[in-house]
Amino acid sequence: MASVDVISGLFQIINPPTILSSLAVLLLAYAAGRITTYVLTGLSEWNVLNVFGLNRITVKMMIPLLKFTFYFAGLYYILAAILNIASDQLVLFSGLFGAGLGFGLQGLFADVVGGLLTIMERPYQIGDKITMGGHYGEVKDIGLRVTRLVTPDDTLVSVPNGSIFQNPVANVNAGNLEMMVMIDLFVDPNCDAILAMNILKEALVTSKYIRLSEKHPHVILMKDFPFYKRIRAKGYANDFRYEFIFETDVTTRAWQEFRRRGIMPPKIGVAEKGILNGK
Amino acid sequence: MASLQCIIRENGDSPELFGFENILKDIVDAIERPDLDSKSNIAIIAEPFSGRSELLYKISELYRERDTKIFFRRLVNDDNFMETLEKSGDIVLVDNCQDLFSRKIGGFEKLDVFLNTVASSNKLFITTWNQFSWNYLRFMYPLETIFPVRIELPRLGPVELKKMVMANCEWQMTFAEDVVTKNVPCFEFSEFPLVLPIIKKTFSVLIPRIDYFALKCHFQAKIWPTKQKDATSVEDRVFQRLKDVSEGNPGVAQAIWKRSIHSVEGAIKPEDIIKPQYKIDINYGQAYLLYIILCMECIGIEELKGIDPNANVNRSVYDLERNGLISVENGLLSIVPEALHSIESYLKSMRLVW
Repeated sequence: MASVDVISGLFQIINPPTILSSLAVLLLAYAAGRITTYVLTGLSEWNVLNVFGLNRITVKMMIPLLKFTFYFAGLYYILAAILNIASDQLVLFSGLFGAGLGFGLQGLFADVVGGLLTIMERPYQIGDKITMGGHYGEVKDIGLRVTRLVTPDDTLVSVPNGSIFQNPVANVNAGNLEMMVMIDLFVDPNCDAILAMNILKEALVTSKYIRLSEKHPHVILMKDFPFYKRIRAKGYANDFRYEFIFETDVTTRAWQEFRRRGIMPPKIGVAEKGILNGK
Repeated sequence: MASLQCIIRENGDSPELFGFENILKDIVDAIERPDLDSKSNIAIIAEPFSGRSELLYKISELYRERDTKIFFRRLVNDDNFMETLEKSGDIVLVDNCQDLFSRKIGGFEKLDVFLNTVASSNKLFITTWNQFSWNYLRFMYPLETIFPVRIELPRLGPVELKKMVMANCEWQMTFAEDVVTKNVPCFEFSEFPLVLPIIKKTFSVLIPRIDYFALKCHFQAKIWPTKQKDATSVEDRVFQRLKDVSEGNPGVAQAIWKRSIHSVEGAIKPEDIIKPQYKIDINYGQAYLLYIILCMECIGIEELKGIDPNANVNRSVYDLERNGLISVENGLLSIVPEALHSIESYLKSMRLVW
């Protein structure tokens, strides 16, 4: 009999005015989140931040935290002030919510919990470059349900936050603007590998996109394969947005110098060799 | 500007040093250490226009009897530089070592040979380096091992700047209090265009800008009106202002001084010392070329084209010159001294300087 009273009380407080008020609060929380995102995203792109030792990621990392704060503050206000739910009603509400989860909301719940965990544990932040759910790109937004990435070919991908429970997330810069870039060049096995390494090293360190410091070293490696030598350069791009342009710059200039100094690519390409073997 | 200083020195004029007395003493101590077997090569590192060449020339004067030879920019760029270097005395002074490399593939050969010579020679090398070039090269070469003694030139204070300016002034200067300081607003509002998404409308938002110097003057005048006047003379405040705007760099201070008093008639007031403002609007490629000019201090357009062959150097040089950041003389590019610290801040914001 008591539970019937609780249910009837719950339905009494859910009436058109409280629904409208709740929607208004949710809308306000959403608007606050959007405004915060817009302002902080704009602020984060100011280059002058670098002068003060900040970068765009340090500013952007506040966005999801503030957004979630707005959403939960709004939810709390609806439950506590508008609906004025008593403790026994809250227990019943939780029971209904649990049943809802069982009937198919578990995916949504997993995404919200995934979003919360992302904010607390910070495996990635807005502005980071990550591989998530098989997609590689820059994190543009961490929402309640999904994380939005922009891939190098400018495609917006929405990955459910819950995927962090099933798949690993690879973060290439982890909150920093610098990013290690690996550049592989394949040369003929009979060429002067030391000369090739020196040329690639100079191409790397003279790039306008490189970052050199104690924390950002560079290295040149060589590995011998049956039909070619692989010369590998590892260095940090000044900003991960220069990842591909940095790679192109180093590769282009290195190959120009390779050809000038008589260092040639492998005579039989790897692909061609593969085709021959296939036959 | 640096090259001009060097030519003057090579003609034999003795430079007068202001504020580097302690540095000079440290260098003399390092040269005259009794344990000569463990020679300590010296690197003097400083930003452009800071008086590196003058200091080196002073050292060469002190040790003239020991057959020292000073290698200025012109000699460093000579192809026979290494041969000449080997023939010099037991103390070798090399100015502007950043000229030994060029930031391109194959541009480090001369520096390689030089550093190997320094590391294997029994001679004592005293070298000067552009601070930005040094910061780049030290991650590629063990410079700190080759040059165990590293001296960074200090920034000059108002007293030293005053001595320097007075020494170069041919007329009697008079100073006067600011008269319009009270009328200068501490805050100014400028319009900032704010584009709202979705509705795609642009609104103007007023952004406050603070004039720190005016604010300081107001603050001093209101809080300590008598104390301020008693404690410092107007002359001292003029040079304090010069120190503040030039950040203690003698070359920059001289340039700002000349520019500031150019239009002054009669007595000089603190507010006459104006820091030029630069609104720098260039892209990353142009900022990189500016960074190269900052590192090399004096570089030819053709060399710049060799460093960044894919860039439209002529157009970039035109833009940089139009922005008042560089000067071009006989095909040689150099930083405008007054713009030095604005350029440095901008390049920091572009993450090209750190």
